[in-house]
Amino acid sequence: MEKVKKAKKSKLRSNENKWGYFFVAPWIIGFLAFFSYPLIFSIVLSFSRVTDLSSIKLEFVGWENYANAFLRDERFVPLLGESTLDILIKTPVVVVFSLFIAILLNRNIRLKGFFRVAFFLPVLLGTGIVMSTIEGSLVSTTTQMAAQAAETLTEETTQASSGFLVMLVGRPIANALQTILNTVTDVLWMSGIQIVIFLGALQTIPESYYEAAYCDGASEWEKFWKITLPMTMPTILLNAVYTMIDYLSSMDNVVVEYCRSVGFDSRLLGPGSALSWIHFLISGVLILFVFLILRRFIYYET
Amino acid sequence: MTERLSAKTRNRLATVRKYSGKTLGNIIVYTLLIEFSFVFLYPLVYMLMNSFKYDYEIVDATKQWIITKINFNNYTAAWRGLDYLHSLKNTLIVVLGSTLGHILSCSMAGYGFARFKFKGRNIMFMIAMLSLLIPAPLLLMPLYIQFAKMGMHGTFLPIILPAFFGFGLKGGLYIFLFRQFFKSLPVSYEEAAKIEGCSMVRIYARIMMPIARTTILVVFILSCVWHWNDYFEPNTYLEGDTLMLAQKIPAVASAHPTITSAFGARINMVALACCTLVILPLIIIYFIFQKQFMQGVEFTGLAN
Repeated sequence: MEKVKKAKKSKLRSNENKWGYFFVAPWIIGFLAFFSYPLIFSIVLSFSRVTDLSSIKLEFVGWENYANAFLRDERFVPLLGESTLDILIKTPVVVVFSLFIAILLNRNIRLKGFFRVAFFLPVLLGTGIVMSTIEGSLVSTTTQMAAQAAETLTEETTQASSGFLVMLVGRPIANALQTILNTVTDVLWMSGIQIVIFLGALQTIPESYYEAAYCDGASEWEKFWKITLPMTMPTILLNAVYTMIDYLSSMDNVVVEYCRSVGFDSRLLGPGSALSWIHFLISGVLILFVFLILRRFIYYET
Repeated sequence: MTERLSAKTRNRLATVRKYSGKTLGNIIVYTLLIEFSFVFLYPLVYMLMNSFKYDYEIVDATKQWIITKINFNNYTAAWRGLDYLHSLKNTLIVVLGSTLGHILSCSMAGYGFARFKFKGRNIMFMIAMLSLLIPAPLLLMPLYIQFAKMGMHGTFLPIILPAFFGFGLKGGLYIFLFRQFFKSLPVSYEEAAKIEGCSMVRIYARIMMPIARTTILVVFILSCVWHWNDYFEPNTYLEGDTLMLAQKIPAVASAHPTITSAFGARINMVALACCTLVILPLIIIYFIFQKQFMQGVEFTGLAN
């Protein structure tokens, strides 16, 4: 009896194995063809110097490429610092802002469709050429305006609003405010997908929780802290990780751009691969760090 | 008597207060929403406005937003410069091809990861997620060499083929979406079919895929949008006759003059017209599917 059960179980087991592999098979083929091979090749490249580009002849040089990235390359480390600082500032702002917008959109409002399209626009316009073309003219407008503002400042005229601001709070603070404003615009443009994900999460919170809170006389403010926030915590974690991945692996990231220019445009395959690997490892550590911190705040239903 | 009256008044007062509080809240909500959506809409409006202008209107400081005469010349120039229909065809081949690939391969992988226990499942899923994080330049050179050896340069295959195997542009994300969705379904769906003697392939194709249509729509929209706007892979593999829409913008832009406006902005009207033409199909698609897309995000179980 026991044996039959075991045999049945193992048969079931092998059946599960079989079908599991069957469904994952395309991905496994893709993994072998388009992922593992290039990945290993790029590890090899990062430890070598290319002596002949056309037939890809390699010479092993050890850690030289990695050492050069930190010791010889003047641009890499500052770019790395810039990108790291940027993401650590932007991730919390993106998450808070997109949660805020999602809560507003989740209320019973008119023109829901219009607002949803409007907030998804940055994703549609993309970060691609279209956006940079539009931004090209927008940015030149703002820089022009900034230059004019600077002029008015030096002339100590206080008619311009920015001059007024300087008079109120002093120049350093005015400059800081300006930087924050620019960052806010950037951030708004980064949060299209996150808003959508939060909206989805908010709609899965059972209405009965809010009704119960309403019966107990809870205010909107209390409802947010006691219900909405704990219930969306897993989504906050997901969105924070998504924001970081999206930013760190995007083509517009300064480090990624630099890696591409070294490795692909100047055909320095070895150093280019080494730079990419360093960036990848640092990104991984950063994301793991944020993940571990945020995970402690997740509330589990008992 | 007085007591009753006062109770009534108190009641009415409470209602008034409640409603006025509600209206005030609504006013704040709408103000915030309109304000924020303005930030999002501004570039689009800016692009549309300026793409319909004549040069003399751009240098006119009295007309930043108002157009007196609509100028379609920018659009005819953009249409011709982009070689619109031909490039649109190329774009559609790449976008629809890779999107189809993503839907097929990622739904299969997602189903496999969600429903079956097999050796190495967790590690494989981890790798699939990790593939999202790998910066593209890391794999670019090896893949470039690999595709060159296979003689695929100048064709659409280097972009489309990986999508059919769960990789390509953000393939890992779609696997994640499908897995989340299939995990949220009760097992009873399949069990009933299994008892009837359905094979797993039939269950997947006939039962699971139709249930997953909202998730399929989400993946469809995201994959379309990202492939449409991507220029990294197309710039690496495509050339000459196979160029996609977005790739052609810089060339068209440099062939037409940039005008400095009265406000100091450097505006290339033809380039802006190009942008409008390039994203127009996308905006139409999204507008049509917007409602289902949002429902899809809800049902995909991203929240859990």
